Amino acid sequence: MNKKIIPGYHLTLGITIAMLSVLILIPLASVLVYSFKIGPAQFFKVVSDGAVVAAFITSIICSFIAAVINTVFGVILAWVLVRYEFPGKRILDGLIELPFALPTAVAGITLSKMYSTTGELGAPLSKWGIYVSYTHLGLIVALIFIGIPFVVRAIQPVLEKFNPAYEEAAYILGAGPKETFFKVILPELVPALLTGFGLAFARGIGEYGSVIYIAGNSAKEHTQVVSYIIMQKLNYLDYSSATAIALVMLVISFLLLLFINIVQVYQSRRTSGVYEVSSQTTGDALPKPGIGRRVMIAISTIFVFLMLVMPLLSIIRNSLSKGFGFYINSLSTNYVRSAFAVTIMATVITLIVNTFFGLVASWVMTRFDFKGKQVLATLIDIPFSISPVIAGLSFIMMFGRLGWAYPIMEWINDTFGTDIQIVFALPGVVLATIFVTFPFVSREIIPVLNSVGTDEEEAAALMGAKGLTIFRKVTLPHIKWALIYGMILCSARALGEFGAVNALSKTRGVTFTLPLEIDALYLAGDSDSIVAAFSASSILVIIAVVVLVLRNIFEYREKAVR
Amino acid sequence: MYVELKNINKSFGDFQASKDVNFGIEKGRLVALLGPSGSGKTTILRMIAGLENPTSGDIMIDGKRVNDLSPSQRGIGFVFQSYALFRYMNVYDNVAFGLQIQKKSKQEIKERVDELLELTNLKGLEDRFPNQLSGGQRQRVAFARALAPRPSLLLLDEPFAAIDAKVRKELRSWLREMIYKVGITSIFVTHDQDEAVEVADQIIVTNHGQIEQIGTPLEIYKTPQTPFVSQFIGQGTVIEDYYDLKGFEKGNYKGAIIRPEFVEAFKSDNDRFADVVGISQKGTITDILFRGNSLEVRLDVGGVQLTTHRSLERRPIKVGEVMNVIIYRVLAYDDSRAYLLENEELKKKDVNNIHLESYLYSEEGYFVV
Repeated sequence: MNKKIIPGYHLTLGITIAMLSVLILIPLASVLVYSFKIGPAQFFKVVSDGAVVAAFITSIICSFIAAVINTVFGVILAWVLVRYEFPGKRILDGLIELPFALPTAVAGITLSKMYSTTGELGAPLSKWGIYVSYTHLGLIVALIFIGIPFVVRAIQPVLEKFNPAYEEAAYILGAGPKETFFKVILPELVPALLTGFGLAFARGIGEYGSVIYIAGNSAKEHTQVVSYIIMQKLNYLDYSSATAIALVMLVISFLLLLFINIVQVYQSRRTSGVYEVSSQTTGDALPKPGIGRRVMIAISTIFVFLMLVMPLLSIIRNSLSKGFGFYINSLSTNYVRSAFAVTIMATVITLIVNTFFGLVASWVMTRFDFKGKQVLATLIDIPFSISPVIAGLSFIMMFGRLGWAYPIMEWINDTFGTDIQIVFALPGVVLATIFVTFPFVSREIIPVLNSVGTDEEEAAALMGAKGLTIFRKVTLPHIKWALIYGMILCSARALGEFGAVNALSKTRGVTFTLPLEIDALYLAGDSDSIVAAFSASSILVIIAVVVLVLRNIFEYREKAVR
Repeated sequence: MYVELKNINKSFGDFQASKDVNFGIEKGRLVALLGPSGSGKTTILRMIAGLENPTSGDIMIDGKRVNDLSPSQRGIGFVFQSYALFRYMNVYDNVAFGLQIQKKSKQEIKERVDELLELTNLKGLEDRFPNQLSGGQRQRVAFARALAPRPSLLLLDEPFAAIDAKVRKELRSWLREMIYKVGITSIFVTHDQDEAVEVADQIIVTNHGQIEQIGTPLEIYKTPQTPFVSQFIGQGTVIEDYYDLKGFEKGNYKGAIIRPEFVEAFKSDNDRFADVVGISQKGTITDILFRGNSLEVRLDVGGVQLTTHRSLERRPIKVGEVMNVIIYRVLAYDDSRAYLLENEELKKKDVNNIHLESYLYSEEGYFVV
């Protein structure tokens, strides 16, 4: 497409790059800039420190194991959800997304409590001599929890679009179900599998909120993860160590993202032009799934129940363990109220900014071809694969006392007589929330716009419609549900953001968000405040469940439209 | 009969895709299942292949009932509409797939694959992946893959649907030649009558899940037996008051189909038609369309709208010009059958059927003797 018939190329590309730079790239670059100041000798001293190396090994190995387990169960779950009809399928489908919608800190304290020696699952397991909480096993469990939707959601669409003629062709040529799966179906799934694996792995390496409670964070037991070390260094105001470690993590994340993108490019090359989608359903004479079907459904249901449903029930049980009066009381303290207000404010601003970005970015990414598009796509996805703690660190390194933008802020405050603080103040909380949820809206819209194609917009443009009219009358109806779903998911993540905000917010009752308040209550350690932590969590759980239900409704509506 | 379908019925829920289907195919034939989309032709093919189970009835291949056999036990090869080539395997592996499943030796597989790539002119493309092939090459790979396990019956589902119109013509004759060279009994599904007429030596016309007519292309074309076939084949127009035309009387029919080649329009000073000008009637040209190798001429003949083709070699005509029109014949139909009605007045002039005979075997028209 050399001639751009569809309007808005320069404008949308400009806005996309500008917002990406200001909100993501410049803060991240601040980390890089600072880490280069440290000097190689000190850099290697920090990075080769025993505890740091151990944390990297722990993070990478546990994430890898969790990602492998998720890949296996992800294939089974996706297969069951696409291929079989059974009662409760829609609920199972909705639950997969729970780890996206549930705040990581809430997941963290719940898993930690559940698998502790007095918890619902921890108690029976400890009788067998299996200890989960405060061990590597606990770490892996938490990473499985947060990683499973990445794998399932990567495979599901590929399986859904799978042309039944491939299976029929294999069947006619004499292949049995096993040969068909391993020789014909699996190769088609490999790129999606690698993508899902890569995303889960990357997310696992950077994970903070869900793992810090269950991991135990013992240097001796090697249960410290990298994000924890960075946060620890930040708390000791050891910024040079924090940035050095963050730099290594960034390199790892970037390599993983690059790998995922290469896989996707490879996939689209191999399959471009060959795919003739057939609407025909598989013939009824093909071998019926027999015992395998029941086993697979059972495995899926047990997995989802143990990994996803149990934690939900555990939160509700814990929050009500001291009676309903206590529950209401713990929700009406000043701290919780303030935290609630801060959370809502940050979420609303984040939603506005990221929705605007999502619309503009998905327009430029799907409507135009330009050099470096793949790079831009990778950059937009950065917040997905880097640790939220690094996001927090970025803003500290930019606006904090050591940051390059600190003098600029000073100058602004002196000149205009204002007192704007970013770090450890509300703007920092908002910026961190925007950073972490940045790609959520665009990620939902881009696939829809890609599958719709540009014909209708080109037709409208040729008839003389202007950019906004085209968008409103032609594009918006197509992406309506995806947009709403992206906005809901973005809100859910914004409400629950923990790691990034944790690094930037230090004053309880003023800049604390709900997850931070939950963290404070839980770490206070006495039984009252732990129950209060679960009470506060229950608000976020209710929101998460509402999100899942809405998502389910929108998804099925969208499917009905197609 | 090599392939036989006996009283086949097939339902998908409430929808009856096949109703009491019966036919037999002799060994070595190349048969087309022809019908509009939704007529049940693909369902019949898929039942023969063993991809769908008939609700009732028997399918026989080579004298054996195969209803309960899987496709690989039936000795069939299948070419899918979009070919369904395995995208993550190269040409060699695609063709070798069926043989590898049969656990044939490496040597044997290589020999067979080489033989087929030779036959289909794909030598040198072994390492290409499907997305690196043209539409025609993909069809050939699909053909080779289906033939690799040496089936005795080849089934093809709309084999030309995924190919550009221009290449399609070439591939038709290629496929026809190839099938005769291999000598394999073949059935292909198509909705395109030109394709069926050109490629097949026997046509089975389907409609609403039923078999309408079975015959050679010529039989189907010249003597359609049902109202559906007479309308589906050729470019006829349906006329209810056919009895207003000269030479035809009202019979017990619901209407008639008149194909362009049934209609002759000539200028009144044309010597060739001097004999018959007396039995012609007047018609006014309402429209002329250029069809490349001929003109399509629309005429109003006493209120009846007719269409005829006119060679570009003949004298020019223009819209509004009054022509002399003779209708050689019509295909009249009632509820269940179609009947060929000859022009009665022409018949009187052509007692020995000389003109009739010559018409049947010449492309030039009725009066070229």
